[in-house]
Amino acid sequence: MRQHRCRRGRERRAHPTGVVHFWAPWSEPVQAHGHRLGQLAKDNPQAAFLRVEAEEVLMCRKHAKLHLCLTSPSSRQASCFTASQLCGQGLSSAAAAEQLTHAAPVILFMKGDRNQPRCGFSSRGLKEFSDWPTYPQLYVDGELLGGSDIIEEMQASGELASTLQEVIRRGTPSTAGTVAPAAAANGHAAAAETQPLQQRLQQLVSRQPVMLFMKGTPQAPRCGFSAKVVKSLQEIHQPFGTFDILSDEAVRQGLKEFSHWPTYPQMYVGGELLGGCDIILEMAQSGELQSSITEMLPSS
Amino acid sequence: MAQSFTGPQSEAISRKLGDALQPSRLQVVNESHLHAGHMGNPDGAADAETHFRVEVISEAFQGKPMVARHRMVYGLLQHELNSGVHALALKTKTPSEAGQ
Repeated sequence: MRQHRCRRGRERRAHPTGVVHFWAPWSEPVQAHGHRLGQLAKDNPQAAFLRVEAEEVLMCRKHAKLHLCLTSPSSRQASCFTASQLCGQGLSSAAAAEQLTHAAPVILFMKGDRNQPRCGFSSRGLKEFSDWPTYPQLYVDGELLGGSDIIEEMQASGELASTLQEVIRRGTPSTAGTVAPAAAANGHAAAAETQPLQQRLQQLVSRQPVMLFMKGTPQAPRCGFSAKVVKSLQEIHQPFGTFDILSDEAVRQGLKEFSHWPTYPQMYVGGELLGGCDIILEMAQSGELQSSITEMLPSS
Repeated sequence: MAQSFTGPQSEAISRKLGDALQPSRLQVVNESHLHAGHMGNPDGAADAETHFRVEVISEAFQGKPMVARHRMVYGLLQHELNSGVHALALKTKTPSEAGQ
């Protein structure tokens, strides 16, 4: 299969409005991602949604400009392409970029499975690309908006769709010159790239009033203990944020030291560690979980 | 209760917690076989010592919230946690909480 390099220059004359979904056939979470993306594709007909099988392409490294190696997309219409379809087109890289173009610079890099070491991306590729060690990665106007948790929150609140629509609306092909960063690309972008780990951990544990650092996600937990904690929280209808520590080795190891707690899951309330699975389950059993959480919540 | 393997890790856990916490009750159960095939015990070996259930009743926990009690135990077992013990299910009570 041919691989093409297409460089997107700083002059944003051609902004890809694209969602590139990298997937792997062995990955379960990809089903959930694929379904959501399918929905987004339907809702955003002007954008191009690409599904690329992860092992079939190579990614280039990070740069302020986007270096994207992928097989050529074939059309502007919103649909999902498989890698083999893209391959068959045989377009040059410039044409590929052109074809991807629509409007605003929204690129979402998603990986079907973040945890499979077989996937070439996990060790190099986009992690170097963005200095953000996890997937997915949402870019708006060339700036990293954030990763999966942020995207999921945005999706749940409807903000993701509206952000996409907003940038699509803003960045028509006739727009020349630089485009101001989207409002949504806030401190996350710069912060993610430069802040030291300790700071990042401090922010992460306080990101939501109740934050669960778990293996996997609530929809696809990768550990029985994590699953039990998710269930306990859902049973008391307690909203909570999550972070998949399997997706981020730096956080996984750093948080253990940060909190002097060697295992996962870890649940934080108001930025403070409440405990792990045993504590949560015991509290749930004795009916104390909600009150314990409420006690620790920062007073608004 | 199913027979479970008692090996060096089990002994170390019992000894260290016993010495440091002077518990009125200490139970260390190897549950590795329940997690055979999982991340911490992928091979499910018969002599695996990767997952333990530990119950400690000790005055040392008096006045400490759960998270602090567990931290104490984790602190005492750092070596074991760094040398193959993948998970510790903990129950930590004071004698009065345990109804003793």
